[in-house]
Amino acid sequence: MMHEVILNTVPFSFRVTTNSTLVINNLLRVYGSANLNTAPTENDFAHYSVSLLLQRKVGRPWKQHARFKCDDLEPFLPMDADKSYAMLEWGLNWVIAAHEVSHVIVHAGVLAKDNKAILLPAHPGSGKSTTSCAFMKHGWRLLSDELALITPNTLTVTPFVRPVCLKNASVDIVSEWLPEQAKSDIAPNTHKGDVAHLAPTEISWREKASTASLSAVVLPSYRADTYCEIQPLTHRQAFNQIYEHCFNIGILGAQGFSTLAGIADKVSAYHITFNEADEIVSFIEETLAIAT
Amino acid sequence: MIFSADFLHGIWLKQAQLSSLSNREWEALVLLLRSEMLLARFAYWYEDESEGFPAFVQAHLGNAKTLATRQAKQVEIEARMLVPLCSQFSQHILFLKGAAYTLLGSQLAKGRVYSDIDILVDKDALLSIEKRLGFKGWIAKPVNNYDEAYYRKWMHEIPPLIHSNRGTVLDIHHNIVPPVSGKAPPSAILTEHTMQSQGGFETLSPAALVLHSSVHLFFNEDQDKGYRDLIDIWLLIQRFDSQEFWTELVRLTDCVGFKTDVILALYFVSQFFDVGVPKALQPNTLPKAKWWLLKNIYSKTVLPSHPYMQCKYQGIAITLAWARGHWCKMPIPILLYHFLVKGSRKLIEKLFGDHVFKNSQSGS
Repeated sequence: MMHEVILNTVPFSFRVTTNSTLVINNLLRVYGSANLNTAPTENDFAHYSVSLLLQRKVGRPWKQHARFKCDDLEPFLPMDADKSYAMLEWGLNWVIAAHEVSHVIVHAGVLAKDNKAILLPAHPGSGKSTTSCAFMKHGWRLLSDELALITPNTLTVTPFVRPVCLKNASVDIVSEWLPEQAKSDIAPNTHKGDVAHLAPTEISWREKASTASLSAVVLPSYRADTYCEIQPLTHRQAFNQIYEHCFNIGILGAQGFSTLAGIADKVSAYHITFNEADEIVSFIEETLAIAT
Repeated sequence: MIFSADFLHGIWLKQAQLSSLSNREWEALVLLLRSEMLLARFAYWYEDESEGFPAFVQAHLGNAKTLATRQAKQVEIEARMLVPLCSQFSQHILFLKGAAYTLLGSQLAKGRVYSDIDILVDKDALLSIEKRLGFKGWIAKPVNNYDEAYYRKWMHEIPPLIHSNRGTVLDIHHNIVPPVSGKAPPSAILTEHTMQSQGGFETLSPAALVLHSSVHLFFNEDQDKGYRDLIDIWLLIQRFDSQEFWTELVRLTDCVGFKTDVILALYFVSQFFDVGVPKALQPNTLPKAKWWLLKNIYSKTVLPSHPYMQCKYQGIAITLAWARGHWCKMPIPILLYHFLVKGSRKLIEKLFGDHVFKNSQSGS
């Protein structure tokens, strides 16, 4: 059966057309019915229109595969049907990274407390999402797990609250930290391993329209044999790191450059090697003089 | 939510009732315009009125303008670098289509977006230019060995080049139609009809630009983005409208042919956007039956092929236009051979995977 729903995320909403029950069930579980319009009318709009369709291949009629499309663009190769919800989440990230040029977009987690935001740019597998969840456990609100939307030439970050993508071992670890949060079904054997999407905390949803101001940049690197090693970064190192993770600097040109340079100049940055994420949280709360 | 052709033309004539659109219809219109590469055009067209549009539409228009501005800047940068690289081998470096419109500036350039830069150079300079560009980071997009031969032997351009750092795609032409068609004009005629942009770049003359755009649209197997191309032709005419322009266009079609394609283009522009066309370039100069057939096929294929577009029998018209395009471009024996090879390759790729025919040197 074909479903058409509008996912009312802020600041961008999505019209999702899908014939996958798995996708609909997970959307309801992770976002809650408050954020999902299951019967859109003529007055309802969405910023972007995407589809996730399960189809059978001619050469493989016994197994369905999932295809993600935005308008008529198809950014990914088809995946197995059991990965369809994860594929949708990645697809929505791609849509924003590929279309939005009103913000400088950095591939990074963003969390905030007392209106002070931290930016966690990192390569896949470095423990970025796990670190984000550790912050959430200590009462920080999530602005985004993957996409930091920065207003050009400011330190202002606009939240884009969506679930956190957890991989492999971190699924169980984080479930213990945040037992209340809804979790999607596990998508097995993806290119990132077994992944599950975890719903943001209640405060994150409540503040989903409040911007925050960048106060620190943290580059996490998970290493099993290192408790917590903190290395401050120079302005130039900080700039290079943020630049490397910026999606659309090529399009924004000078405006993008000056935005990133402004962040590197005004905000303290650290490279933290860790196996105990709580240590990062207490270090940052101490540094930013946040009352715990 | 399905838009009629008249509504679409009305947008550009500023006669469409945009204020009566519901949110859902606005959403559909943005998708339709974006898919036709007309969203940025629309954004500039309605720059003064857009305050009254819904906020989410304004956000899309802002994004579209930013992307178009970036592209225009990029084209100028690429053009500045390309001309010195090519000029030692080729007497002329002519910018074609979208790149030409951008470099010519004004209304024609505003919000024109495209996927590649097209240039025209002397045929005997091709290999040297290709080599020279190779040293500057321009590499051939991977194509299979049959397609490679198809381009080199029969076509009016070489396989597209892509810049390894900047991702810009460059199409280098040595003529406006495939020489294999037997209808390619002598390149000397093309290089006689040129002009300089204000920035000092060389493009085809206004009449030759219209001719080339018409040829690209109708002497071709697909009319994808054809609606955008018609708007380009309309804007070209608006900008260069004069007695000399029309005289030159008539003379050019007498001299190099493609009269049918030009008549088709001008007919649709006059139908859609209310433009006067001189008698010599009107449909009644063509045989009646032929005209009836062409008009009925192409009146459907030049409209956007999109779920939100109302157009009956568009599918069959697209198929017929595809057949005629191939018919125009290739003599029958070559066409049959081409279909045989293409068809059997498609079948083999279906059976053995898409990588079967990849060039081992192409690194993919």
